[in-house]
Amino acid sequence: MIEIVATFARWSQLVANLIIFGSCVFLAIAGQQRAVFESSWATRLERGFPWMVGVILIGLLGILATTTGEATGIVANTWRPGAWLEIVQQTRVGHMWATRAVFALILLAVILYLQHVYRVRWHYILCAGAAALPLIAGSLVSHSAAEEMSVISILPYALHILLAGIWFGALPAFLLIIFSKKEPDKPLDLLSIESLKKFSSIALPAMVIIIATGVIVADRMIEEDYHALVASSYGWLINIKLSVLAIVLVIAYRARSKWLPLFTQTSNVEQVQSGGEHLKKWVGIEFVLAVILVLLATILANTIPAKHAMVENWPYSFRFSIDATWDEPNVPLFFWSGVALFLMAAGSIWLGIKNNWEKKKKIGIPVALVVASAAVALPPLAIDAYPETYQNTPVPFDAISISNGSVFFAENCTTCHGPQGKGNGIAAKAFNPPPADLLTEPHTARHTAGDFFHWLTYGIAETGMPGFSSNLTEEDRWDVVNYMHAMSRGYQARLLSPQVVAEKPSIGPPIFSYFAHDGSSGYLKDFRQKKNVVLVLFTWPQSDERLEELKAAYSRLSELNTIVLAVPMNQLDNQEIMEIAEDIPFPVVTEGALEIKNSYILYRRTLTHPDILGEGIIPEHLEFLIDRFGYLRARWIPGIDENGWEDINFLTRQLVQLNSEKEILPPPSDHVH
Amino acid sequence: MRIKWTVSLLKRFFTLPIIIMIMTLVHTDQVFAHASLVKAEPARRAVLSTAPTQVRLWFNEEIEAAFASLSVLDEDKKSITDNKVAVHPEDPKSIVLELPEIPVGRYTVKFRVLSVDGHVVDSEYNFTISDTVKAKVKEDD
Repeated sequence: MIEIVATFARWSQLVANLIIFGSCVFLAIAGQQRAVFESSWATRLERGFPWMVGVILIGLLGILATTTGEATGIVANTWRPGAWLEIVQQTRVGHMWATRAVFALILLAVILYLQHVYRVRWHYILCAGAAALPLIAGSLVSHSAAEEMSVISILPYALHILLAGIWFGALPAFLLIIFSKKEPDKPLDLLSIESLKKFSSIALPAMVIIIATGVIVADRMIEEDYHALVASSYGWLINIKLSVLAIVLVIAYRARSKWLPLFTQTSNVEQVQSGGEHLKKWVGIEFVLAVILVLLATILANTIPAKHAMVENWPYSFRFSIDATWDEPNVPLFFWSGVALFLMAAGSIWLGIKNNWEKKKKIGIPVALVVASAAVALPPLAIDAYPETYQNTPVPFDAISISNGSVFFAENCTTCHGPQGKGNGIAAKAFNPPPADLLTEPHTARHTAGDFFHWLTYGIAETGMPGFSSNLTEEDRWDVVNYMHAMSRGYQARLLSPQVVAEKPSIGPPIFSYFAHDGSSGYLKDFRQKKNVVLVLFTWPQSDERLEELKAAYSRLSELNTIVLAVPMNQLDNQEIMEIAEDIPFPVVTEGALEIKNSYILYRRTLTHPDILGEGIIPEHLEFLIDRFGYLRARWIPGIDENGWEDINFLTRQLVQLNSEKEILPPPSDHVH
Repeated sequence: MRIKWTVSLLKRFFTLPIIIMIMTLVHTDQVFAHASLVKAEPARRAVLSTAPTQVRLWFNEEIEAAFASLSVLDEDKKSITDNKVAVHPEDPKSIVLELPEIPVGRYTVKFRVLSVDGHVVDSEYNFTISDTVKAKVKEDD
């Protein structure tokens, strides 16, 4: 209920604000001839302004009331002015609301002032400026805290709403001009014709920019989650908005190419009447649709964008995936054939217009080609999908989850999939097809995390794999999914060596949290943008000598903007850790070590020692180098890597290399997909 | 001619540079900002061998002190402290709740905060204090 009131409040004040803004811009542009201001339509338009400000003020009150309800979490506060006042006084949102209200009052003052003075153009420029103020203040509410604020990031949104305001806000003026023509059988007066033409010339470039910026905005909100377009509120809202826009464009095109010329350029009474009737009817409809568009935009702005939307229940039994199908025979051939057909469809549209094909042919051929292209390209890209396919994992890809997953995997999966997930468990031979090799085959790259969750929950009937919903909770199953991803990523990490490959970061290591002997604590992520991390997994007392070396070299490493984090792999109580760490200058982890160990030992495999047989051998000592942007860049395992970091100079050279690299974006997400 | 006219129109349009500059800030709200928990101490689902003395949460946006709530519940869903949550004095994006000494067990951290841009973040997570952590390590080895 609150949400509906909130949406209505936002929408009504936005519509009113945009109409005042757009009308004033239109009047300022059309008012090259001063007589415009004396015309009856302009007077009537202006008469509506104070009412519009009234709508803005009431809308703002609605926004305050609903914000109060949402912010305090107590629905009753929505209707309690005392609670509103607290929000206004105590929060930044409240301060910004007050600013908006003050600006709306200033707008009211400007408009009331204009009602009583002789019109000149700059009055409307002033009025447009004043109408912009409440809008700006509204946006600053968010921007005071938004992380990615820059001109380039904001410009498309701003242009989109700005131009939409100019187009949408000018529509009432357009309607008033048509409706204020008193004698239906006579052509329109020259002044009105000029004004209508001006609207027409503003509207076209405005609409082109609105569409272009709309595409950019939509792209940012969707990113690569195109599936959400057909499975989330945001996606369906965009589809509806586009459909409404398409109707608006068809109406606008007809109005511009046919009815407006009839109405303004001929002297034939019947044609003028017909053009006028059509314009009244259809531009009226266009305005109503435009109001709906603003409503859709308001709802969209308050809906979780597609890229963040949670598709709980994928409604189709298939999905399209290039990643999962590209290596199948003939898929590229079909795909590119489909693309060729699609290009031919585009070409046929152009040919149809150029050669003036008859209507049936003009529409029929491109439609047939588009259908054919979809029929050729899409089926080979389709693979099975499940309701859970696009579920986002609620459990981050971190050491706690991977470590839990390793335990559940050992208890439930190894009999068939083998102790290391290679598909070679003791019961494996009983199955045909054999259990999947989860270690060396890229299943996690080809299927979504949700697919694995589905299989873990319900099993795969045709292969004999059972479901685990009865003995593993939902969270446990996501842990297993994360573990399988870590297993697979760890196998890919065979390419790591003690030598950093310059400028080639690709592996995002598992995130972990820790408490250390020196009282420090944190997340691995805390070091991003700050320091390189040498993560040392050690066994006591075997690693004694190495810890001494690191201790001696620590000041050199620190100078290279690097922290060493030591993680014991064997069982040590706090007392023992304190003794070991007594004169060690870097943190030795006391809480979180087990989880870190269980996750990072999956990254022990090298090209020469992939260690895929049997139970696997866990080295006694491993060191990882994580760069200051959060990527796993190098690894040294004594005894396996020939040249290693026992030579501290070798290690410092790697750090120098990392420090010389330019800033890049951190690994994309803490969740597997 | 038509192009020239459009250009002159556009020029006139740009005689409102102030409006445009101002409008560049308009209505991008809700689009970028998504207040969310970025870090927690103790971490979500952490299993600790010693009890924490405080719960601290970090968000990606600044938090309104007057409207933040944070409680720690024990296994019976009872709040373990009457202490009030506070915004961290050195970091307005972080809130902290001091804890009394608490015994071994599973705890739920519940929080509801209002970020300065008006978004509400409302969630909960668990952590466990266990005296068997070390035993588990042993088993694993």
